[in-house]
Amino acid sequence: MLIDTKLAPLRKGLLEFVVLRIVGGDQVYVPDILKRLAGTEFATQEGTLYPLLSKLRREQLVDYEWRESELGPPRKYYRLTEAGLQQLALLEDYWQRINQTLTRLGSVQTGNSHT
Amino acid sequence: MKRISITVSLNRSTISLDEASFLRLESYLDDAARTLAQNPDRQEIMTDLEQAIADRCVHRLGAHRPVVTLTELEAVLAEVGEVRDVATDTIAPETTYGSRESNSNARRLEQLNEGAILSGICAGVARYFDIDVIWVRIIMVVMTVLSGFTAILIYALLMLLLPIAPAPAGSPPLGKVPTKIREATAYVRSFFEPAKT
Repeated sequence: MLIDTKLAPLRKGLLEFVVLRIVGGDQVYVPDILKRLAGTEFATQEGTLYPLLSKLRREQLVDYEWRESELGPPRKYYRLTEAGLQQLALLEDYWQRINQTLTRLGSVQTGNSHT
Repeated sequence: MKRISITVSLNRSTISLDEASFLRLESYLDDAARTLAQNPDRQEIMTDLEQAIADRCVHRLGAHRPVVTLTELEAVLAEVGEVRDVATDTIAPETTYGSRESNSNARRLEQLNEGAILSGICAGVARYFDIDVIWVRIIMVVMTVLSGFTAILIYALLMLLLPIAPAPAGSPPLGKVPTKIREATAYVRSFFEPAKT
């Protein structure tokens, strides 16, 4: 419980990064994104994802195009813009630096902890 | 009388709901619109959500199934999830977090021992109503003069009954209640909340 209250903001902060990564991989529509995230730490729902995507579009990091679908109405397919690609590269870089820092600072030896 | 079927148009799809599920959907969409009130893309997000709900209803029931019942709709809404506005949520997570915290503090009526003249009742009341403590103290003094014993009695009662706010980290309680009275209060309080320690 306590540990999750500490981890939840981490996941929340990383969700945008994760979504940019998925959108960067291929043109996707929302059910694809949800499926990719289902079962991971970042599992999410339309109620969260649509507002996030609209924010990313406002920031001109992603854009979408309409595509006809055989069943039902046309769908929005999202892709990264040039600015989105740049930001994703920056985020990847930053993430690596964080990882390096964590490695450099060392980790707790398991079996040596108090619990 | 109960309406059997209400046909609604969700974005570009048409689905039929019974009365209970119609009301539930209406309240879900109202909540979503309220959450997104400040969002410049509210209209578009609402349309996306309506479409997502319609798609999931159709997927669940098949395109020609007559009416979506409440059970089915609840399942669909659980999948779509509560609407969270990331735009206002993640831009400044720390400030929202902080202000929410202090708001919840402001709501609680407590004794604030730190910086108190006696036991921090006035400070607690001032924080509760979000006014300067000096006004509460003035009112307290005036009431004491006017009412004789009563105000002091009320103060003593509040001292016994109000929860004591946890001291901020690293600061000792500074109330100027003489130790004897403090001990006596703690002793009396211990009868009220035996399970606490």
